[in-house]
Amino acid sequence: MNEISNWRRLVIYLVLLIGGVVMIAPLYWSLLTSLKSPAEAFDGRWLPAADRIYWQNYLDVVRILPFGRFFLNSLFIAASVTILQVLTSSLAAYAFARLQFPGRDRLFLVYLATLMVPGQVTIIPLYFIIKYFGWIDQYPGVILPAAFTAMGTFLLRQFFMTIPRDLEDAAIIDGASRFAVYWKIILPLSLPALATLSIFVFINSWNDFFWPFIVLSDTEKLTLPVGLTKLVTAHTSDWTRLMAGTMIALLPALLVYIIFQKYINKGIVLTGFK
Amino acid sequence: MPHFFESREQRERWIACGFLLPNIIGFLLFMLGPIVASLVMSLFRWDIFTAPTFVDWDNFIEIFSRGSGLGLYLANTLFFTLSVPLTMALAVVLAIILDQPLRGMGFFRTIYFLPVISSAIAVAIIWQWILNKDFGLINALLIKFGLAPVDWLGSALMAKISIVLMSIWKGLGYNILIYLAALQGIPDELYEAAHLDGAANWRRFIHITLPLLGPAHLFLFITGFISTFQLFGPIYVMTQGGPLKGTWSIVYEIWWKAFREFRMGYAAALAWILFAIIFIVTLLQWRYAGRKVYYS
Repeated sequence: MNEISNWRRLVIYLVLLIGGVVMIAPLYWSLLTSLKSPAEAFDGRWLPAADRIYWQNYLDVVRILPFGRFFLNSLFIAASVTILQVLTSSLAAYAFARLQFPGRDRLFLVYLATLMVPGQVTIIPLYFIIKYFGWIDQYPGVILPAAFTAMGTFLLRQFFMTIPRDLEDAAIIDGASRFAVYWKIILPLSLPALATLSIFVFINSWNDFFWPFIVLSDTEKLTLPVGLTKLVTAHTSDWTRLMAGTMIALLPALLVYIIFQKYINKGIVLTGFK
Repeated sequence: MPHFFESREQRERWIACGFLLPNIIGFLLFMLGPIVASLVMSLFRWDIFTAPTFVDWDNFIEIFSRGSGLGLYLANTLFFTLSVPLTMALAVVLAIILDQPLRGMGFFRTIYFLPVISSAIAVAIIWQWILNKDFGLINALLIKFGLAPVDWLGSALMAKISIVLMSIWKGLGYNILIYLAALQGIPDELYEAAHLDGAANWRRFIHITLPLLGPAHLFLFITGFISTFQLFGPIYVMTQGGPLKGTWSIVYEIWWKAFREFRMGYAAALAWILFAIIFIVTLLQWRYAGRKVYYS
């Protein structure tokens, strides 16, 4: 490694600092707005007056729309999608990676091919399928269509292929069933891959908008992103409260990211770059 | 016991069925089924209130005929894809900087990544606020520096530019992360050799770093292109496709036709055109850029 001169160091930090300010300013400005009273919203000050932090926006916004409920809805939906997706796709991935059955590779190809089809293609028939089951405005209507994408099966199958067969073969000779092998050998060895997939599916589901937006309209059932759009259409220029609602949707996710960022970063590189 | 009568292979077939079943039921019902149904639907006229009628290729013919607006919303969507190369260019420079063994790089990485993890809707609302014509942060800064304020979301062109700016801000961290991972894969010896040959910094950047990042460029371009073509939430929040349909994208049109005008067959046909565009561009990229890309 060649040494970095002080002059270069200065340039590097200056570029990063300017970039960092550009990245953080919109978030900071919005947080600040959410802590100002409506009368002060447009005063253009850069720091909140310490004695006049206006928490009222948060109380107001929770009264206008049930943001606590939105939060729980988002949590429940994202957790359900994640559990279903990881469980069913790891089972299927095991079959694709290890079992012999006719048409296996062709079926896997069909799975792969659907990865290329954009969600907009399926959304219209999907709407009528959900309607047929009576799940419009119901949690299963949001959860189930998101839980069976081919992505999980594909990623886990690729990971299972890298696990050496020796351990499994020994267990099978000892009389272990295939399910026991899957449950007691493959899954424990795949924890990093399962964690990565879980984080991914969870974040995507948490931030998902298009499908929940189409299925949900009952206020009590909305997820955070869909609830936010209701707030926007109802209170277009009520900026302080709008920002308070936005912060309620945003800050928990950012906090989770900051805590788990090493894992999340690794996961993105793994899944995005394989 | 059936085991005595069945061969080992037959037994494994049944086991495989058990493993596949939970996933495959969902996959057939919520993925493959709808894909096939959507293909069939695109050949029908259906307003959901009356029975669907078979219209052959009429939906596709109507989409490609004059006055359907295809040209407009395709052009708008293509304009949005400007954000892809712009984000990549910024990200590659920042990734190389962040790859230096200096203190505080982790901190900056975190900062750049925050918008990526944020919900697109929250980001769109924030941008709507900072782009506000009268009280927004950006116009406040422009005025402070003696420049004229801009009506960011007020004209078709500026609204498009606003969406591009927002997309760059939101996607930059992801692009940086992918480039950083790719940079780790470039062997130091290549740089050392170039250093010994006396190659200048910018020449090393052009002749070694950029070409070796080939797979990352390709990956970011394709995924960026696909996700930009599918952009919906921010448009719905920031502009509702306006002003004067200036940000009316192909996905916005699909949503509008399906869930506002209830022209289900037409919308399904349009969704397949979206698929065709994504498919062709991905294929071309693989064939022409993919060939030149260096894989280690």
